[in-house]
Amino acid sequence: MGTLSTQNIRKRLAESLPGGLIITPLLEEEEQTKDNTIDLRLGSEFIITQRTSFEAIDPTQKQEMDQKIGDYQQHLRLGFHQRFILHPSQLILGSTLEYVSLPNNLSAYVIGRSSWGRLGLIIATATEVSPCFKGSITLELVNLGEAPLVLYPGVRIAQLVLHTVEGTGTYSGRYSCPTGPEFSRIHFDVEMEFWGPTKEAAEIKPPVNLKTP
Amino acid sequence: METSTIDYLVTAATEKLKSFQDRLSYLKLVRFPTANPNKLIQLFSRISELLEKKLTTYREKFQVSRKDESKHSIVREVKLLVLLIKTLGARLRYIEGASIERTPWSMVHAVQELAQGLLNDTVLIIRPQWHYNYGGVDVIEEWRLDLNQEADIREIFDRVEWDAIHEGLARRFYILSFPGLERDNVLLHVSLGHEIGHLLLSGFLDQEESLFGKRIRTKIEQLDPEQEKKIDSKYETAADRIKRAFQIRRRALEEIAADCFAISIFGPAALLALHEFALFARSMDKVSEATDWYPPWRTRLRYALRHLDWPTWYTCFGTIASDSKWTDGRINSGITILNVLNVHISTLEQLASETDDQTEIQKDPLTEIAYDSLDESLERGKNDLDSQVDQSRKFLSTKERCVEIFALLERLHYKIPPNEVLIAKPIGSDLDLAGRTRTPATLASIFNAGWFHRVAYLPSIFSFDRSKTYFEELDILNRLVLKGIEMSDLQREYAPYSSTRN
Repeated sequence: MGTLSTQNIRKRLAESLPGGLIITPLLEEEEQTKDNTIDLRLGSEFIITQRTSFEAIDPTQKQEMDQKIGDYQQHLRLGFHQRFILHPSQLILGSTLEYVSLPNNLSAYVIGRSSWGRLGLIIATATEVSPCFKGSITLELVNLGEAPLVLYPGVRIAQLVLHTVEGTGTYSGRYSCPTGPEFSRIHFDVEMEFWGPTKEAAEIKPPVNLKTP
Repeated sequence: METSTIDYLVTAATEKLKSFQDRLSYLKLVRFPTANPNKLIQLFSRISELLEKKLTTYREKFQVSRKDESKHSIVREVKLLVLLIKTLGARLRYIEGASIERTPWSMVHAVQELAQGLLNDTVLIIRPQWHYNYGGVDVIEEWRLDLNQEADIREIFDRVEWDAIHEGLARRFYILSFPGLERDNVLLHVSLGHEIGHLLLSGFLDQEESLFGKRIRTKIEQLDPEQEKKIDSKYETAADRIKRAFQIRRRALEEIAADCFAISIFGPAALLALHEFALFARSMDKVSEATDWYPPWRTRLRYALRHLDWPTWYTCFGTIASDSKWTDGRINSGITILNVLNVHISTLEQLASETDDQTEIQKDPLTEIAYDSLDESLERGKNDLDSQVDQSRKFLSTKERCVEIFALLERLHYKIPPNEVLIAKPIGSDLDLAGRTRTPATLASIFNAGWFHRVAYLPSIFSFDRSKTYFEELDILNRLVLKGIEMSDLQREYAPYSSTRN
């Protein structure tokens, strides 16, 4: 397993389907493919949280998560040239403008650009992209700085580092060709139910309000 | 007449105006896919500002006026002004509907660009309507018509004022509506091409009416008694019959010519979208008042097929289909896709070759007269539209187009947005990108690739697995097509900036 060089990235981007590496649109191909990475841009769709109508996120409660996740997270779409202000400690989901299709012999890591990092912006926490993944990559954007950050769809915000895979790999994830950020599906973990409260535990009544004498 | 009367009336009118302005203020906060709805907000704001000034002037005029007659006239004008506000308020729905949440936003800009390139001095807004149909309307013309029974905009605004309202803004604001239920059915929105055709046709239709008026009149007057008996008794007078025949002819002409126009700019995709509508029609053959005198679907499909000239497309695709390389267990090449598509279009040809619609048309003498000589007019209609549309905007069966569609089809097969055609020559030096071109796909080619995929590939999945797989695939197709349109549009917008910077 080795990191692809700029030269190899550009070669793989020129290969035809189905084995080729697709990253589209590459608005500035030369500028975006440098230093053994590919710069990725911020897409125009976001998922923002709204705290007012959601009590807590309990991923073991699959049915409740299915029904209520929309109360907690809301889609937002900005036009190009419109700004999004990310406040300190705020978490939003965004996605890359580019749609990525990895062949079965490449995997990737999404990392932040240091210039943004120095301003406090974290762009991804789950950074590995499996071979055969197709879609826009969801970014978990958090402002760890002290000043609000102004983001515009289209700005270069992340980098993709590509690696060759020993043998071939597949993608068996839950996200099917996403074209924008997607809600979390942590509650689809097969064993999640096991770790949730047992029936007995769920039936234990909360303590009754004790009246002070 | 007391001053308090006008005071009360002006206050009430100001309240109405304030409500209208409040709605506009709210709409300024709504997110739209493009700036066009904001331009309509600007126009409405200017109208309301002028109306506000006029209200003050009316009050002042009333106070200095000595004659009851002129006071009555002022009261009438205030009432007229309120009517203007109320009817204009009804048009706020066009802006409300154009929000990002309610439109297939990724394609709005691209469709607007296409339409605005064809229509001069026009702002176009796309929005859903709850009525299950596509439609197009000129906002100001419709407003005028709405007022027509009771008032005229010119009674309130003189020419100078009206020009000032439009200063820096387009003269025409067109609303294109799509059925709200079909928001996510992206490929059906090819039908917006038909609506753009309507907007271009109005002048021609008026000319045709005067050209064929005499001929229709003579034929109606010369009907023999046997035919007379067949006419619905509610059309008693010759004038009624002539009016009805005109109406039927105009409707047939505009719908069929607009269908042909959609095919001129969107190619086979427009035929496939038309068929999807025809598929669920209660009758393929009837022309009736109940369906607002729309021409029979079978007639429309026949004309659309003739205009498309599928055999030429098929031959053109055939020359390049064998170059396609995609394979899977069900459909294994571009040639297979093309053949499945050809079978599908053959069934449409079969449908159109039946003549039940003509039999229906012949049952009613007025409809028969209306449809007589339609071919002649359609030919002129198509020529009229042709003259308004630059050759480069037409979607012709050239090798270049077929290659583009197949390249996009291949991308869809591998679940990649159909936004561009990549031509990559072997790299000369290690880092040389000079031999590489990424050409943004045209809107029409994206629609066609999407339709070809949907018609020729997805049904094989449906017959293989009628469970949710088909609908998941359809959802992915719709999203990829939308993304493809958005990306290619962005690539076109970005390219001039990139070239000047370099």
